[in-house]
Amino acid sequence: MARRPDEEYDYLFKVVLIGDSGVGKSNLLSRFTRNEFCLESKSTIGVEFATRTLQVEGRTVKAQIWDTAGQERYRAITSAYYRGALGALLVYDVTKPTTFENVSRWLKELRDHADANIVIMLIGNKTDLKHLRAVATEDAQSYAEREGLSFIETSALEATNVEKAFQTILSEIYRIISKKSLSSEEPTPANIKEGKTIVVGGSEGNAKKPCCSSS
Amino acid sequence: MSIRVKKKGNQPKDQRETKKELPSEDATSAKAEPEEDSEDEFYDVERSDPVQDIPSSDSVSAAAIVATAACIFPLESLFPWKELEVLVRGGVPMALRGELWQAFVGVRTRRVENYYQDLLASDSISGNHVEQQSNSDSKSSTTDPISMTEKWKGQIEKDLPRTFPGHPALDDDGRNALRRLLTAYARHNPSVGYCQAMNFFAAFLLLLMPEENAFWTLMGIIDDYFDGYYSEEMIESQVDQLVLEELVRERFPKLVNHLDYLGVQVVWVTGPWFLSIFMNMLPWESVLRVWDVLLFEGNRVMLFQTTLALMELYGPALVTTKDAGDAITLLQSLAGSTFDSSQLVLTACMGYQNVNEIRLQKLRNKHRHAVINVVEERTKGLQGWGDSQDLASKLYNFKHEPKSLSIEIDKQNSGDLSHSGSGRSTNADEVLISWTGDMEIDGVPDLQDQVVWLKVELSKLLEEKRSAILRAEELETALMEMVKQDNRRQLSARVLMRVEQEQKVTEDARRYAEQDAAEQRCAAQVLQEKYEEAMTSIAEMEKRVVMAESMLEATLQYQSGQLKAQPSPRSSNSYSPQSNQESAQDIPTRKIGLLARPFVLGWRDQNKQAKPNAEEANNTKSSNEVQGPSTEQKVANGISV
Repeated sequence: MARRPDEEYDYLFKVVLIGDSGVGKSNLLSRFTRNEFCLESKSTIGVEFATRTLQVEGRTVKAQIWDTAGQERYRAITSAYYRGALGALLVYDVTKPTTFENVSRWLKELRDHADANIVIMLIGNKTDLKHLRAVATEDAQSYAEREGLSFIETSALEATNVEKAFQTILSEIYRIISKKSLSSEEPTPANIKEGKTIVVGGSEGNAKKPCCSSS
Repeated sequence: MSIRVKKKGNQPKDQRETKKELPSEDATSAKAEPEEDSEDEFYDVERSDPVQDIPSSDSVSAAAIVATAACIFPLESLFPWKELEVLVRGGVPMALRGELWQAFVGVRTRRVENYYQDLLASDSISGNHVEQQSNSDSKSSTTDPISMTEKWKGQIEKDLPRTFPGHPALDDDGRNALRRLLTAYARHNPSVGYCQAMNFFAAFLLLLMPEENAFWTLMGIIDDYFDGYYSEEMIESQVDQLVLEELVRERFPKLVNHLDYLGVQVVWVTGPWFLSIFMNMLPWESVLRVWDVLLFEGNRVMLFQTTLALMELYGPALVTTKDAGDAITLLQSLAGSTFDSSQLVLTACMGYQNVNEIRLQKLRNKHRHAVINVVEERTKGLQGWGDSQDLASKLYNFKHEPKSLSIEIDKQNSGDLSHSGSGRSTNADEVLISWTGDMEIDGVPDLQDQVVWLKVELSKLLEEKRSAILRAEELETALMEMVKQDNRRQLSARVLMRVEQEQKVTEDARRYAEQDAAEQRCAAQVLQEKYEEAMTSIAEMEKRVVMAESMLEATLQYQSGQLKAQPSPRSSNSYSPQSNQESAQDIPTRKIGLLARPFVLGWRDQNKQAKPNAEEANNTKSSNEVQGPSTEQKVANGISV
């Protein structure tokens, strides 16, 4: 898990972590960004934020991750954070069927408030609690296929698949972005706008460096 | 504040009994380390109170302290409010915090006997109700809140272990108390119920005061101070963020420009600050100090002031960040290390006095409308629009673009809806109707579509323009910065030149000095040579002297030899010892005398020892004068014998 200094990166991707309260969003974030896990973590008030720079498809990508509060009423506030997000990790708890049932509500939430072509990944967390599992992998898998989401099961506690989950969603975002910058024509206005912002964001990061290093 | 003052002016009767407790309190509070002096002042104020009684009891019961704290307020006319305000800003003594906070919140006036217990008593009943759901309809009036409570219960249970995890006070008993507190509040105010963040407040209060007092304090805070903040829609919380954004924009235009450029919204960071009242966001000492002022003032002004102070403190650092992630991370970590709580509180209270409740209320009224609109849109969206066709989603997306336009569209949209249906409501049926209305509009899709599309385009262009302007500003500042740096460089170049010149001058001076030194060295050498010359000449002269001497001696010897040989032996004998003596004493000065003498002496001293004397004269040339006479005498004696 080599971490490069944050200064140099080719792309800056914003990703949000959503899902019911207590499914382990904050621990997924801390596992991914700091390689830490805390059995007794604090409840998230509003949002928390962290970044990590990593290699995706040979490019340096800085992932900007927003971890949102799970309580339903906070959605009004957290949806403000969806704006400009290129990816969303929708987390449920494999030991709590209700958190899986609520996935559809979260999906709707995303489709209502996030950018139209946001990349969504469904994550079943807490696979370490094998004896308590209540949501079958197949169910989630087929649901994800139906909804056109990528899917993975993780354990933040055991650090299983956490890296892979983020790698997958980031490379998916990367593929979409690079495709878009190749054929930057056509789709709906919203898409064009979004594509532009990304490219500008990426090139700005590059363009600014020499300026800064020269000063 | 004045309202609160009046609110607390209700219990003057307590005053006497509580004054008694003051000295013992003094002892307790001696433990409160950080604000010793303010504490002292505090008590000075207290003692100057003319009504004070004789100090007596030394047992400190919590209730008595509470009463004391509460009764600081009754004397609204006598009490130096301004001074108290200053003291509170200086920090409430830790030992008194719990009591004073209760006083600030007005726990005494709120308290209703057994209310808390009654709320909790329904716990068991409600538990039964859920278990025996078949019976629950009998009490139809209570079913609704109870089922709601149950909904919160799950969330409360989830959050209990996630409230200050690992804190020693939150063992099983502590958790149970926390559960009771939160449950009681949820039942007390179903419109709020339980909202994440309250768990932290409740636990925090439990650390400072007894359970029931904590309940009343929590109730005061959530119901009064943060009315509408933690309710289902969280409207006031959103309004406050808009107000804050306006204030920050007004106060720190440069910072906001930079953040805009990075794509960071101030509220992303400040939202959690407000919702948690800085808990877990600032160091504890700072949190306590902010709460002191906030609870004392009785409104949320301190939230704004503190946030603005933090922006003031950390804005300069934020401006140097290069992307959104860095900016947010930096602000978070800087805020988390605001250890100078006094500086923070002082900056907040003194620097932002014009941020007051009246002004905030005006701003809130201005923004509330927009928030309510969005919330309504949201509920509508959640109920019906989620799956609707392109146009609707486009409209929705569009609504998240610049505000002025979104409001326009909003108006238009709501107009359409009220045309077609029966106005807006959350009722499912009506939404259905309005939705079909929307479909009807779709009947004239082309124009409508075009209008929307054009508007979207326009808004896009506007946004681009805005970002271009921002970029331009950014570039301009960068240019300015470069120009400044250039100036600085020029200046430093000039300074450098001057330094160089000075260096040259000193170099010259040094060279001159060196030359001088060299000259002096030369002179010294010359002198040395001269000296040596002189020495050699002296030596030569000495040699010559020696030579002359030896010559003289030689001459003398020769002369003496001549004298021995030529005249009578007598005369030479009598002469020689004398001459030897004299010559040993002062050879150079009396040369002539010596030369002249012999004839005189030679003739005056005569006879006797002619031969031995001659031998003696030869020997004593090198020997001492002393020896000379003694031998002379011996010889003389020997002869005389």
